[in-house]
Amino acid sequence: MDNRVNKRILIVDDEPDFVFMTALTLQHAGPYEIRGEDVASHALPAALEFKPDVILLDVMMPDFDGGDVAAQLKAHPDTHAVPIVFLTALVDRDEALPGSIAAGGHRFLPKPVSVAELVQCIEEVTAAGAIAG
Amino acid sequence: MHGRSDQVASAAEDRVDSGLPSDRHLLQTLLDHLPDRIYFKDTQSRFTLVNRAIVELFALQEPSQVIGKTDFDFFMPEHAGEAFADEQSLMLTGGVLVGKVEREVLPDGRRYWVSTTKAPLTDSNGTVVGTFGISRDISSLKLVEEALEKERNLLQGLINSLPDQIYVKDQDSRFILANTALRMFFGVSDEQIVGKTDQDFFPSDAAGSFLAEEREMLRTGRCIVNREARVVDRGGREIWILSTKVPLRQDSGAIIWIGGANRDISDLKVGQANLRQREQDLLNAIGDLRRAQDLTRAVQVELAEAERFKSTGRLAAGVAHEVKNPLAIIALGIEWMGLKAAADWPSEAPTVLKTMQDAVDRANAVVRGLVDFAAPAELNRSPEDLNELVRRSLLLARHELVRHHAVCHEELAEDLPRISVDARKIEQVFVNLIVNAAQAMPTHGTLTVRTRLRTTLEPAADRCSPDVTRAGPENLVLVEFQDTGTGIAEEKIGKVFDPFFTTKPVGQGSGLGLTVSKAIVELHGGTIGILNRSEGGCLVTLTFRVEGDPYGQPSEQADSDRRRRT
Repeated sequence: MDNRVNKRILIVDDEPDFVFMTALTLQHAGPYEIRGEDVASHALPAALEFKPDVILLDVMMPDFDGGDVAAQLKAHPDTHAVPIVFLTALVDRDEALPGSIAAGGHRFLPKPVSVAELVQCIEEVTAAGAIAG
Repeated sequence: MHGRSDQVASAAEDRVDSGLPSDRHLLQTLLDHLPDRIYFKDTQSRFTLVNRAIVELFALQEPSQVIGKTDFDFFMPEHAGEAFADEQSLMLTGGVLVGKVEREVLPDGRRYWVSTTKAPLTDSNGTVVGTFGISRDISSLKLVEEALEKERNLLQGLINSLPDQIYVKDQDSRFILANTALRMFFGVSDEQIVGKTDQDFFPSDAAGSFLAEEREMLRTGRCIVNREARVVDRGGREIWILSTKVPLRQDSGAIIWIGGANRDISDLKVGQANLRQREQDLLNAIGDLRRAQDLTRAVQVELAEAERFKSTGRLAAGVAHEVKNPLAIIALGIEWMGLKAAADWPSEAPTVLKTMQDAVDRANAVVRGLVDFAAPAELNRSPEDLNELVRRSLLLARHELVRHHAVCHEELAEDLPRISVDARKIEQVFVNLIVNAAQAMPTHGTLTVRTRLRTTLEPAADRCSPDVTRAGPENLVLVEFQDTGTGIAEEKIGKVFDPFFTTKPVGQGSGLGLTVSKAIVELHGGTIGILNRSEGGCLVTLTFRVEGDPYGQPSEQADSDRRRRT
């Protein structure tokens, strides 16, 4: 962890409106620095450049799906420790239970998601990461 | 001979006065009118007097043509010699030959049978002067006798050649005749069997029943035809016989004998049994085939259904994805507006935002229900205690019951067999039913949840194979949710499981709750039904089949399953 005051959040979702709206609400909800990407393949370069504290990652995307992107991030030494929160509109009850943890230790949040849920989740994973780091 | 003629002559003279012909004439007339052949011979067996029957036999005209001749002049030498020897012997011994049956053959080839009676002839002094005799033609009698014997031999040959056991018994059920087959069966000779009874050959109870039925036959004249009976032969082998017995009557009509025939049908019986077994096997095979066909058909239907679910499931998931992203954006937008609400916003603004948020929640619920309905997906089954699932569901839905001031009664049967279900999905169903019940009782009411074990059929009394048991009764666990609410209008009760049907006020229900519940229960092979109670309110009944030996499931396994899930 560097000495940044604000937590950095990278949002990756193929829906630009969702990226925009999530960024807008999160900026208002806390002292976050936000960057959005609406192309899955841009996720890794963006992460390397932006050095986020947490990545909000859509599961269903046209070119890469969220799992592929997560694998890329995990494989890279500079990004492998960054916590990922999956956002999914896929209604699978096991995945969709709020705050549930999927294989690989990642969190899942079902869409639609409330700002409060997002903030709580971000705070939890970054706190855990801080302790771990 | 001479002296005797004198006696006859003198007797004739005595009768002259009475007007009668002479004795000689009387004798000749008598002799000539008798059909039997009568002759007198001297000591040398020469004919001295013959009647007309003899003249005719020898095809002559006058007795004089015979007088002075011997048998050797008329018969073949064998017979003539024998007759001569007989006559010489009679004269020597003074004996009488009575009814000797002789076969006479004439040189012209005629043959016939006679019965001859001969005696020595003595004069008034008792001196033997020759012989006399009388021969009766018994050829026709002999023919009848021969025919009878032939017939007897034929019949005897027939019954002895037949494989069936044939016999005749007298009025005391003693054998008077038994053919070879029966004698062999009993292991006795022809002489040995006569006078014997069934008691000598069969166990006494069998013999007793044969005797009783024969007495009955003698009394009533009834027949026994083709009656099957099991008897034990000499070697202790059990055999089946087909038995026929008939009363045999005298000309007077009185029954004096019992005739019978037995046929060994053991092989036939074995054949029949085999045939029956094969028939049964065939029926079983057909039954198996039918069941297999039914199963195949059921599997095909299930596959088609599964395929449909899969494609509609994919469709629903796609739709959900496309709908939920916009919903997510709208939801976040509403929240942002709420957070940024400026002081100069109209006073209705919070209400507008709340209404919009509710609309998003509703749309989200519909999409979720749709996906649940379209894709109940695979079941994650494990043996579960339904009572436990009921309790957990009540806990999950407690808030809804409390909100409607509803009281809950649990009537859970102890010791229920575990049922293999997907616990989360069944909980979803139970919660749904509990929430429905609570919402049907807006101000107050009682929800009764009941579980019990029921057998569809009592086990059949004659359970002879495990297959019968398996095909027969079935154990069911019933789960009932009974409320004291408003009930459902009769015209609507048939539609409650239809998609998007709801009795709830607009905004309260997605119209998919019962539809999804039904799909889930049926996916488990169970049933769900709903009816209005006469006391008011609804009764929802779910059934789940108990499969295998549910009590035999180790409870640790079930516990660890549950831990893994929660």
